[in-house]
Amino acid sequence: MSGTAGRVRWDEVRRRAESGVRAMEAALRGEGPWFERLLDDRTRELARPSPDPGQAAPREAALFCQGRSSCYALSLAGLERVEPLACWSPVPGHGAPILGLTLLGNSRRLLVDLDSLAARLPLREALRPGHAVLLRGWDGALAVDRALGVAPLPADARPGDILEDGCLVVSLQRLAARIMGREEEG
Amino acid sequence: MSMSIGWRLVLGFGLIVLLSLLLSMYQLHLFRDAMRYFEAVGTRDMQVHAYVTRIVQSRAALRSIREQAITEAALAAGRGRYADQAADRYRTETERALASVGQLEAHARNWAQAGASPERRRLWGELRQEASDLGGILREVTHGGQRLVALLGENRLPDALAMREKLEAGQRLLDDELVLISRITEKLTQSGRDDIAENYQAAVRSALLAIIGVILLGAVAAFLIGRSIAGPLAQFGAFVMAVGAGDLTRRLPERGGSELQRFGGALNDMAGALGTIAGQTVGLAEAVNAATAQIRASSQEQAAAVAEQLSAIEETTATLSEITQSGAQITRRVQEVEHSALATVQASDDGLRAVAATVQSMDGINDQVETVAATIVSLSERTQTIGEIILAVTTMAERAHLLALNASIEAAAAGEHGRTFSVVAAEIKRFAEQARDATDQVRTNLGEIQQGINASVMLTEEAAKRVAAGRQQTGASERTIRNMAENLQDSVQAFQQIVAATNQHQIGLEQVMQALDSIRQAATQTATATRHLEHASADLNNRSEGLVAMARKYRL
Repeated sequence: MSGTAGRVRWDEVRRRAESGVRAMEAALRGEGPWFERLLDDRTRELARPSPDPGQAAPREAALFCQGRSSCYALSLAGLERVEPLACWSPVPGHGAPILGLTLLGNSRRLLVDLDSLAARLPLREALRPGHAVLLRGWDGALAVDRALGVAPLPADARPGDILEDGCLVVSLQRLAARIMGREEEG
Repeated sequence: MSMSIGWRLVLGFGLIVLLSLLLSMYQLHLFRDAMRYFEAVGTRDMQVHAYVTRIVQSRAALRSIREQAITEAALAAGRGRYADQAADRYRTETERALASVGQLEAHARNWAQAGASPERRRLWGELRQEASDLGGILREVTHGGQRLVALLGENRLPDALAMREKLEAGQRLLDDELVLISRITEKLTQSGRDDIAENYQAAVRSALLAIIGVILLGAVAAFLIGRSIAGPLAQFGAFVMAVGAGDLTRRLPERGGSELQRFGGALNDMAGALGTIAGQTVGLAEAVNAATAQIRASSQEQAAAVAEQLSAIEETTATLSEITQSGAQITRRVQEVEHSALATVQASDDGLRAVAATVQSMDGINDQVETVAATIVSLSERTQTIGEIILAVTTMAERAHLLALNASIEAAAAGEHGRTFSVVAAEIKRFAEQARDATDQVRTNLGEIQQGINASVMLTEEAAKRVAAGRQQTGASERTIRNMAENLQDSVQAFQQIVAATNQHQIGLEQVMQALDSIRQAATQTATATRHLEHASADLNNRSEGLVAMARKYRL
């Protein structure tokens, strides 16, 4: 925009500014290359064939969660739901892996640090927003940094295995037993 | 015997006049005789020619009458009166011809005895003889002619024609005789011419001898008279030359009472007086020489003094001219500096106006910078709003993400019945991811915009600071230019005063130059006059010295 000796080419400036305004207005109207690219991606996505439920047995799906140092795969069968984790209150007298109590929905839940529970890492120190994974049949929740998504597990995956992407397949029964044991111990 | 110069000259010129008169009378006598002889010879010869001519005419007339008579007789036979008329005419003409022949014979006879020379007398005798012969032939021819005419009167034409044949022979004799007479006449004429030429030459010789004689007599007389005058004059010339050479002691002998003796006495008196004057002149010349020597010395001293004075004046003039030129150069320089100062004052005024315009422009820039800052702040606030919106969208995306996760969990819990629901959950999950990506991109762009806004804020702040600094510097420049303009104005006034002073100084120098030039001119004129005086005094001194030398040449 500026030439030698600091001289500003205001025509170029005005032209580019007007061009940016026109591009923004076009994008807001649902026009332009950005919107076309979005539609193309969406079309390709919809055109991708979905797996036929009747031809092959569905594989077990798992919720992949991101911890502080590793990724965890939790079987969906044992999960209730996922809630955003904003804050929790430490419970005096409880150590790792229990972080404290938190309010999820309309119920009080015991919050357990998944990293400390599964990988035996020390408790997270400061308050850090994340997700809370609620388990079925247990009024506690697992605290993770982020619930990444749901994906099927490999057919030969077993609890305790580490997948190709580095995620640890976690057994919810073992986790529950471990939590329960700690509660009993506590 | 002493005779005066006047009488001597009268005697000499009178003798020459007398001899000339005698010579002229003698010449007149000779020419009168010659003229008489010319006249006589001419008259005689002309008379002869007249006789011969008349005879020739008569011969022709006779022949004509005869031939006419023959013709008329042939044409008018029987008419005798024509023949009678021809006979009368023939007779008359015959008498006239015979008379002429007789007169010629008498004339020749007369001069045959009284001719001027023997040759002429012989020729006159031959002429008389021939005239006598001619008379005889003429009488015979005229007689025959009268006979012919008579035959014609008798109408005897053939006889007349025969007679004419005979007469032709006589006619030829007559013609031959006339030819002889003509030759003799020509000889007489030639003889007369020769006599006239001889007489003329004799007269010329005698005249030349007379002239030579008169010249010799005149020369002798002039020699004698001149010697009687030139001898004393030579003495006088020698005397005068001696006096001219300065010998004033010589004197001429004073004898007799003629003019020359008196002239010699006067010359003696003149020599005496010149001696007295020369003596006085020598004294005066010596005095003048001494005075002119003093004048010459004084004029030389004066010329030297004037030359020194003129040299000093010229040196002063040259020095003053250089000073004047330097003053003129200074005046021009000062005027140039004044003009430059005025131009600088004008430029400073322009600069002040430019500074004021700059201040105004910078104030406008400052206002615009403040407007830009306000706009940037507003944009920053808008970005904050956009951030809140992004946060809201992110929250919604997060909720959708969680909704998708929970839907998947529920679908998994539903087992075989939830498989279709899991597809919806996957779509929701994909939507949430796209919304998250979009919000991430918007957040990134917004962050860049915020960084740009922050940079713009900084740059605007810097620009505002620079504008303020420029405004401050412009004010300082304005004050500086104003002070400079005031100083320049003072300088211009000072230069104007200097210009006025230098102009007055230059005018005074020019007046002094003019006065010096007048003095130089006067000194030059004085030097010239002094040189002229010196030359004149030197010349006067030289002349006085020459005069003294010349005066001293006189022997007193």
